[in-house]
Amino acid sequence: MFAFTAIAIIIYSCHTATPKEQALAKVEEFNSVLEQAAVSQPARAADNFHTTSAIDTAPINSKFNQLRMGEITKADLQEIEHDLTFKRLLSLEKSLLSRWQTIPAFKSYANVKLSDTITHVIRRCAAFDRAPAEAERVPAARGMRSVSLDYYTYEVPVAFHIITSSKGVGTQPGMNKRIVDQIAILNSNYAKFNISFKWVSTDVTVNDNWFQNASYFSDTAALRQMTEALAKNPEKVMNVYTNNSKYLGESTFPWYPGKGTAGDYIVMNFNALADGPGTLFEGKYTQGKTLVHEAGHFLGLFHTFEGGAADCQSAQNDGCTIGDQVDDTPWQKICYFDGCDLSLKSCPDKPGNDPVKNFMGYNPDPCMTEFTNGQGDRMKQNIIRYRYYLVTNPI
Amino acid sequence: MRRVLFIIFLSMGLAPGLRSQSPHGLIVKDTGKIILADPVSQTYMIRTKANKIYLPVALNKDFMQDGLKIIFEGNVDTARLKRARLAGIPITINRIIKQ
Repeated sequence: MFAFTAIAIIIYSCHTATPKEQALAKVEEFNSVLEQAAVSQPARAADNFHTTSAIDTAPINSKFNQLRMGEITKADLQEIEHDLTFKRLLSLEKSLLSRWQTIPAFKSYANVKLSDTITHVIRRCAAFDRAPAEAERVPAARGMRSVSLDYYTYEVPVAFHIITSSKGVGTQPGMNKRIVDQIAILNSNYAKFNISFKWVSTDVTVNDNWFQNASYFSDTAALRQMTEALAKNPEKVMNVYTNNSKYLGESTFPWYPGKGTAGDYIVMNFNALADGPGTLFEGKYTQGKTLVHEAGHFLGLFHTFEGGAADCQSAQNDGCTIGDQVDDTPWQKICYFDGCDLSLKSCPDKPGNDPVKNFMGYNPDPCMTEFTNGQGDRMKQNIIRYRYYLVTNPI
Repeated sequence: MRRVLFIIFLSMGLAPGLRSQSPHGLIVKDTGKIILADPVSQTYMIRTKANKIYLPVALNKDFMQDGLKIIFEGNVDTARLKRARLAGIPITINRIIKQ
């Protein structure tokens, strides 16, 4: 009896649509809704623009010329933009689904290697598989989701701007080698997410004010002057400025309004570049991990201990409930500036110990060695949503 | 002398190591040691007895002495530093005295 029930359950489960089939059905369903919406569009447009004539009989250009721009609300424009993005994503999704063969993220999350046959059976029976509607697919217009994150490869071109004082502090012989090494460090730590970094240029500028003060957290006017004067193709390139910042590094998030302009930047202390001197902060920042951390912010990651308090070292910090918004990053209540104690567990009610080795904490360079797979997914989602220009195989 | 300073701090309403929230972030009062963090840029930091690290903004030159023991009070606010990597918490010093 038990065996019969088990077989019945398995047969029933195996009849469940695969993620690909579910996704295709969704695409078809949305296509159909979209077509219906297009048919009823004239009536809706007529309502919105306070016209009485039937829009569907007039050529679109002629109708457009009749519109007064002041009458088009921001909401209307956003709706038009969403519709366009939405349509494009639907065609993208169809194209990609036709090539959908495996779900690599299943592999990366489970950390086990199964034969293709077993994987197919597991997927077919709807067990262990992450549905495309979840992390496998990226957010897009109107909450729709699109393609497999692992389909894409990503390349981040990097332009370095070395700012020095009039006494020459800020650059030394060997700076070019440090930059080459820095790119290698970025690449070795992001490779598992198909994200690579490519050096495009280095320039040197002498400016005492920019050297000492250009930072969002100290002198925003100097920062603006510097970035506007030096930014190189910010719509395509990650611009990195090295100066004497008291902060090891700072970066813009990808969703900031200045994205793709000179206001999109990373500023970092010149001695925190790779092969830095052992004299900086007791030799804790010599391995180039600052730019790995800042590139994480540039691609949309938060700190592992994100907790909203004015002093992240204090018990008031709430890293046990806020965190970095990534499922597989263990919780960490406060930030650490010293050591690499793997036994720390500042959130006793949460699974796992503090992720002190994570690049998005504050531990010293030698301690930082890892991103979680979920952080990789979050970066890729942010690239596709906000920095699509970094995708090297766009559809 | 240390006891006198401690009493002064108590009389101001807070003992060293305590914190209180202000409209401009958190007010920190603590004891610690000044440490030269970067000889190239002449950056100094404060390491407290509890091994917390603060980076004083615009530290008075009189206190730029490696190894100097101090009592200090200042404002910190890292809530706006969500996109920065820090080597210590930046602190705007309101009051500072040698121990």
